[in-house]
Amino acid sequence: MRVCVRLYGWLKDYFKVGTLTLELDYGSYQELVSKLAKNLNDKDGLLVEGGRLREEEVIVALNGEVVSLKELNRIKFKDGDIIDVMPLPSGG
Amino acid sequence: MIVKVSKELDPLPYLISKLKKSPEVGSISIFIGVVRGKGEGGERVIKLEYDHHPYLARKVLERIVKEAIEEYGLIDAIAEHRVGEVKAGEEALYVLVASKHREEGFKALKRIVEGIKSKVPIWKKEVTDKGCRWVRGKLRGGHS
Repeated sequence: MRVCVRLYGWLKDYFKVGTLTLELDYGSYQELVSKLAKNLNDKDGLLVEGGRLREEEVIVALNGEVVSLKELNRIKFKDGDIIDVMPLPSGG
Repeated sequence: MIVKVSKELDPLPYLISKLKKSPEVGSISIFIGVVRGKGEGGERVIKLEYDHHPYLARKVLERIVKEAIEEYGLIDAIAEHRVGEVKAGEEALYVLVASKHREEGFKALKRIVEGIKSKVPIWKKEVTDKGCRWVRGKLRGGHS
């Protein structure tokens, strides 16, 4: 299955990519995170640490709904899912 | 209720006139967010560049304003946030609340502004005479 991951704010600048398509075999959160870290070449662990997204740095939305990282652990991604990985808000 | 996330803000007199329509209104409290011309390290800020999630920014903003209206019994409220480039000295955020009395208006105004800063998926990059940097958000409770 293919899912689309979109990055925002400093994440987009730092990794120099706004949108990427990932091919998943199982659709689990662990697989998503692992492939995301590999595709983004996140050697410094800015986004992914210990096989998990850094909760203190990002919020995640699945198909336009914000989901907690705990919820993500239970989710099976489907073909065509859109996953937004966003820094903590800094507007105003 | 008006919520808007876009490149331009509506004129304040127009927004105030929208809120004054009800005869119950006894107070209109207004917050204006302005782009500071001086950075934290004393550098000269030229502009801010706002990135945002178009769908979620509007949705979360709408929820924050709606919750404040209900919680504080407001007559009406408006929140507008600019995105894209905003030069130093320009206005980036308007929040207006109309209430019967000032007390609930002040409280609601603060609640909405704090909610915008911590929950609405908008991010700003500060462009200064010494370079640019993304302003990093802080973890301040739930985002859902």
